[in-house]
Amino acid sequence: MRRYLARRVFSTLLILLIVVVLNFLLMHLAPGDPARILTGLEQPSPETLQALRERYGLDRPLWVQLGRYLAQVARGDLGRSIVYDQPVSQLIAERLPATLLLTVTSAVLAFVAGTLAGTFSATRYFSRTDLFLSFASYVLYATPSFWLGLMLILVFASWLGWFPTSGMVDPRLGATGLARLLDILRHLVLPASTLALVQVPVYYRITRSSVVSVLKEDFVTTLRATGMSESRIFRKYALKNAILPTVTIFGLHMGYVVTGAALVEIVFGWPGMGRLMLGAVFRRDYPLLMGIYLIMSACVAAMILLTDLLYAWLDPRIRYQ
Amino acid sequence: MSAFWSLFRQSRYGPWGLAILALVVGTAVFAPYLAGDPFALGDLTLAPPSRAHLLGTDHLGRDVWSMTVYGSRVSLVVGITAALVSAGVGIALGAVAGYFGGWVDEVISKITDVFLMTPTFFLILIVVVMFGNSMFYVMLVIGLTIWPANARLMRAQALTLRERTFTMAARALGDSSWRILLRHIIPNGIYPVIANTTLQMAGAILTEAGLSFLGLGDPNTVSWGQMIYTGRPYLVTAPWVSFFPGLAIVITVMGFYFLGDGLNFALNPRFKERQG
Repeated sequence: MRRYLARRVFSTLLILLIVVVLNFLLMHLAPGDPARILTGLEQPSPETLQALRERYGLDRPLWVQLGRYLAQVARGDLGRSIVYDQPVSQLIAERLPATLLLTVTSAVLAFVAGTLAGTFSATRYFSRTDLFLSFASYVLYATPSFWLGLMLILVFASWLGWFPTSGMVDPRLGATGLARLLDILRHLVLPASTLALVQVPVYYRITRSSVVSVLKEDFVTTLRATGMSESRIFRKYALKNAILPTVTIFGLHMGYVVTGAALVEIVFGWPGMGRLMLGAVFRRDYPLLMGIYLIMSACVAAMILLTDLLYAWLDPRIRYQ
Repeated sequence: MSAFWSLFRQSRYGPWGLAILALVVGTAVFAPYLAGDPFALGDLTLAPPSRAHLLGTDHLGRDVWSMTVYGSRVSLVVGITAALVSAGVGIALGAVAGYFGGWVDEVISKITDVFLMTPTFFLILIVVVMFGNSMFYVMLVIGLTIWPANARLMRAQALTLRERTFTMAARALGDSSWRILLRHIIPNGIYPVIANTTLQMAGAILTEAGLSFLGLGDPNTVSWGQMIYTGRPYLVTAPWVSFFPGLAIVITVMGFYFLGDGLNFALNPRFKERQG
C-alpha cells in the first residue's frame, strides 16, 4: 500500500508540473502583447512599453520567465496580478471561499439527491416511477446550467419573488453575524439548486446501474435463499458494494469544485473565482491566470489522487492487484 | 448488422434518439424552407410570440424562430466535428498505446493523464480568447481536449484484442503491426468508442453553448448559446428570447444521449444490463 501511495503521489506531482509548464507556454505563445494591453492605449510609446515590460519581466526570454516562475511557486509566491496590482494568492484567497461554498454545497446536495433517487429507482426497476425518474434525469443532464439558472431566476426570483436574483449578500442590509449568514443562505438557494440539479443525473445513473447489478449478483441470491429479509440484504451487503462507483465519481467531482461553477457564478453574479478567471482571461493577466490555473489543476490532481486512495482503501480487492 | 438493429430497437431510448436527431438534422438541412432570414433586423423589437413571429423577436427585431432553426446548424456542426476530432485522436493514440504497450503505452498514458487533469473548460476558454473565436478554433480545441476518454476506451479494447487468436494468427502470418492495427484491432475495438463519441457530441454542444453564452462564440453565426446570451438582459421583459434556444439545446442533447445509450446497449460487449 505504501509503495502504491508513493508511486501515485510522485506521478501526480510530475503531471501537475507538466500541466503548469504547458499552460505557461500556451499563454505566452498566444497573440496579444500584455504590455500593450496594460497601457490601455491605441498607440503606446515605446518607452512606456519597455518600462512595463521590465517591470513585469516580460522582456526576458521565455525559458527564463518560466524558470523564475517555477522558482517563485516553489516558494509559495504566485506572483502579482498585472491588472489588479495585488498578490495573486491574495486575490484567489478572497474569492475562493465563495466558490467553495457554492460548489461544495451543490456537490453534496447532488450526491445525496442523486444517490437516493438512483437507489429508489433501482429497487423499483422498470416501474413507472423508475421510468419517470430516468426520463427526468435525461432532461436535467441535457440542460445547460446557465440556461437553467436563468429560468430559475425568472420563475423563483422574478415571478414569485421568493429569492433574490443575484449576488451573495444584500449590500443594503449591512447585516452581520447570524443575520448575514441567513442572508447568504437565501442568496445561495438558487445558484446551488441550479448546480445541484445538473449534477444529479450523473449520480442517479451510476447509483441505479450499480445497485441493479449488485442485486443480480450471486451472493445476494444466496442470502435471499437463507431467508434474510430483503431490506437487511440491501442495507448490510448490497449498498456497500453498490456505493463504490458513486463515491469515486463524487471524489472526482470534488476535484472540479474550483473550476465547475464559473458559468453559474456569472449568471447569478456570485462573487467567486468564475468572474475572476474570466476577467483574467480577457485582460491577459498572465500571473493571475497562471495562479488560478495552478490552483485548479492542483485541486483536480489532489482529488483524483485522494479518490484513488479512498477507493483502494474501501475496496480491498484493488489493493492486491 | 441485423443483430445490431434488433438490439438497438430493444434498447429503451435508442430509437427515440434517432427520431429526435433526424428531426434536428432535418431542421438544420431544410432551414431555408422552414424559416426566414435569421439576420433580418426589424422594427418590431422584443415582441411576444404571435402569428407573424412564431417565437417572438429579440431586441433587434430578429425572428426568434428563424434564429433557433438556423442555430441548429451551428450546434450540429460544432458538436459532430469536435466529437469526430476527439474520436480520431483518441482511437489512434489509444490503439497504439494498447497494442504496443511498453514505453509507448507509458508515454501516451501520461499524456492522457495530463489532459485529464487539465481544467478543460478553462483551457478552451483561454485558447478561444487568445487565438480567436471562429467556429473552426472552437471545434478544434474542444475536440483536442476531450479525446482522453476515447483513448482510454480504445486502449482497453486494444489490450484485450491483442491477445486474441486472430491477432496472433495475423502476427504469425507476418502482418506488420500497423496492418494489424488498422485491419483487426481498430475495426473490432471501435464499438464502445462509437457510443462514447455520440455522447461527446452532446457534451460538445453544451460546451459550445457555454462559450457562446460568455460572449466567446463566433459573432458571424447565430448559435443557441449566443441567443441565450443576447436574451439575458431582457430576461424578465422578453423571456422567449432566452427560453426557446435553451429548449432547443435540451431537445437536441437529449437526442444524442438517447442515441448514445442505444448504441452502447447494442454495441458494447461489456454492457451487463443486457444479460438481465
